[in-house]
Amino acid sequence: MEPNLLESSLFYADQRLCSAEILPPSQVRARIEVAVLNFLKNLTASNPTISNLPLISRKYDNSGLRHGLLSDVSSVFLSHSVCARSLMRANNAKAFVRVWMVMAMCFRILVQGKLATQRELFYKLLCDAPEYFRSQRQVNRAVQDVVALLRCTRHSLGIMASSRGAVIGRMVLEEPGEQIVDCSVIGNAGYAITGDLCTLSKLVLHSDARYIIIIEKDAIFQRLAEDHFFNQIPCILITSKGYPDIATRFLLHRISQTFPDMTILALMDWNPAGLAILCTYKFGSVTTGLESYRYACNVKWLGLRADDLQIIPQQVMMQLKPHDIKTAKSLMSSKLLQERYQAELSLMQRRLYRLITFNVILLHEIREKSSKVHRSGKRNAVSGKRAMRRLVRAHARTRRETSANCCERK
Amino acid sequence: MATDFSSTRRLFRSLIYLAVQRCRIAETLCRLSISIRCFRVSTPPFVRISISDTGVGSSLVEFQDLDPGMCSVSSDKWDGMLSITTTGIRDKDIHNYRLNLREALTSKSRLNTLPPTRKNHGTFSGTEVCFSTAEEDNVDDFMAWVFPFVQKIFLLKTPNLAVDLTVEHTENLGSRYNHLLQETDDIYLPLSLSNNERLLLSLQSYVLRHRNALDKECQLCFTSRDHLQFGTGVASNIQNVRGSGQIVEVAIVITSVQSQCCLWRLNHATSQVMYFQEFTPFSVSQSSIDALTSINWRNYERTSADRNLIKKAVKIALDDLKAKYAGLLLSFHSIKIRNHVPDLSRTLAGLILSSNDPEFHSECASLLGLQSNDACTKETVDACIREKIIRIIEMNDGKMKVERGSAPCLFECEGQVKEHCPEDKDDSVEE
Repeated sequence: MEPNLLESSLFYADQRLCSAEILPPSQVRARIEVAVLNFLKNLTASNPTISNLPLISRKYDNSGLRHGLLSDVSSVFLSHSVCARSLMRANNAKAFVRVWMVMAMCFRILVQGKLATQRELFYKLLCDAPEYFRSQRQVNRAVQDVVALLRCTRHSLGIMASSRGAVIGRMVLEEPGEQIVDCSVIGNAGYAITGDLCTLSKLVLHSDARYIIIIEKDAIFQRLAEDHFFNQIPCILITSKGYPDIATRFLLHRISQTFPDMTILALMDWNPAGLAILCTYKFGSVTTGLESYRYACNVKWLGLRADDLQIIPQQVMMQLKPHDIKTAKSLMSSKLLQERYQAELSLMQRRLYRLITFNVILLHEIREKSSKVHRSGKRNAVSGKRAMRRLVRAHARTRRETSANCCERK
Repeated sequence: MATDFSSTRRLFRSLIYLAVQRCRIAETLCRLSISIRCFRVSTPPFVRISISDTGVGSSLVEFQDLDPGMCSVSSDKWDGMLSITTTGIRDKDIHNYRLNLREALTSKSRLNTLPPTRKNHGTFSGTEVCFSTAEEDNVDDFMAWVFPFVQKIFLLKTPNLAVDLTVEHTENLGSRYNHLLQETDDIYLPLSLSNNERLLLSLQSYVLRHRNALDKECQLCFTSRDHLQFGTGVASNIQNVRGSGQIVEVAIVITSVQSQCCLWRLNHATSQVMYFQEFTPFSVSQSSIDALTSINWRNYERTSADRNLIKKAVKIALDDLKAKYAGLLLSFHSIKIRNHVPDLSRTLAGLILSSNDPEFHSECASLLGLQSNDACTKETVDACIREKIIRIIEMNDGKMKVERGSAPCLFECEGQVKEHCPEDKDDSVEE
């Protein structure tokens, strides 16, 4: 179902859009100080009260989809609907205190001029207040609450994204004042993407690649790296080893902004989680909707696709797990998916298939010169080549379409 | 419970009840004298009980309804006879009767009228009822019941009523006597005091004397009356002046545990419920027990006759306590919230003091009413914030949820504000 054009047009959406600002530490400290002063003012007023925390609602019903006018990038955004968290509701009291605890911790980090990862934050909070913070997830949620309260990005709060991401391929990175990194000659693990968004924003990038390929699985990433796939088809391979983190998305966005002609393709498992990951790269997410809309990219779904199923042996198919079914339902009901994606998703739901390991097998065949173990026999060699042919065809089409030779070589 | 009581005790209580009513009707200063003679050496041992009052004369109607359940008592132990002597203020004679409670109500031999005695001197009214019974095998047990019973009557400080108890033990070597007299102060309390006020005063005195175990207030446990917290409540279902109905009056006293307390206190740290019907001590009725147990002590929600009236009165008394002593009886909900306050205040204090902006410090100190930056340690700021938050929680306790949740937001909001933020359990958050 295509979203309503008026509702999703940039102007309309931007009026409704609520954003977390990228702010320098001094401004964030000032916002926190204002928060404390407002709290104390209400506490000591003639009719004293305990202020509620107005948190931007990070729920589906407060979200929308905006389409770029001049680009074909669409992104999820959050609007201004707020839910008030109160100390006076017994079920909310702990979550209320958690927000203040994280705010106090961030304030201290900013005063010291440091950066901390969410993991470090978790350990510190676990020491200070073990009854309040039992898991990393609770810390992450509380951090998002502070973002929703102060309307500034997580990075502005002094929290570094914990990055799992890696990049490899036809790209040269120059860290200011540091060494130059040629990503086509580094080890198979690739260049580890730092969680410090400031450093990422200062990187100088050079590339002659035609494609950026986002890869879900680290194993696939490493397999393609080992085979120097990026030299056969000029591309950059990037992965966040699962669900995308902000740093990987940030870098992807930077690469696509620096090289707007590069096509971004995604190679995911054929299951609802894979599609959800693709959607996050493509549109952002509701839970981090205040900032993630900035890093949406025009990502195209390369594979696996439904038309690859016919050459896949039945024995590698697996049943959808309950969390797959849940993800599928939530994706279906969101406004994000275009028709073709919806069709594939409903096929997944109907046939209850998920493929995880087959992705590995398929890619064995993408390498023309591969002589390693084939797990699935001849038919997969065909399917692997089919995918490869698709890629080669797309590559050739792009080359024909461009009039000038855009290959930049250092 | 009444079922445990002997017929003697039930009859004793009923006769005292009737005497108290006669005194109350008189509306003048009256005396209620209880005299018990214990004949321990006879076989079987028996007691002779006499209850006399100077209230209005009796018309005997109330005695006709007496039925303390004598079927279980053999006539050897008690013949069922009551000797009644009564006279009204205007009567010229003092009337004498013998009432046989073993006889049926309609029987002619139930009431035997004896020759009256001429009232030669004085204008007076009163009644005396006597009976002898050997039902109580253990006289000491019986006396152990009688004494606290009579002390409870003292507790009420019923206006214009002086009560006394005399016990005579007749043994081989002669007689010995016990007396229990009410304090003069109790009798002469200002008449303007309501029943409830009297009840409260006596309950306080009762508690301060460790349930009358002591002759005077315990100085070790109660250095002052401030250690008592009390509340009263009255509920009535009487529709109009002429309507029938009931009034229930409740007084609650709570003592806080002190660091120093005497042995009695250490051994008796329990709650006690005393129930009176028409100024006479009774066992706690089933409806009262139902009312007390059905009160939702966690948050005093009103749930939904006799029981409802008692419950209403107790609730009013509890609310009175809450209103007077903030923080004493918090609802479970408020206690749950209050448990988080020390962590919140400590967090806020830590945040304030971790700033290196002196203007921010001084603004916070000024808002909190703290003297100067130098005196602002983390502990003082923490304590100040904590105390203010707790006070707000206590003030809001018992208010409707809507009122509680209507505090202002920390920042102004442009968009629609939803009531509350549920915790998200299932969202996967980007790391």
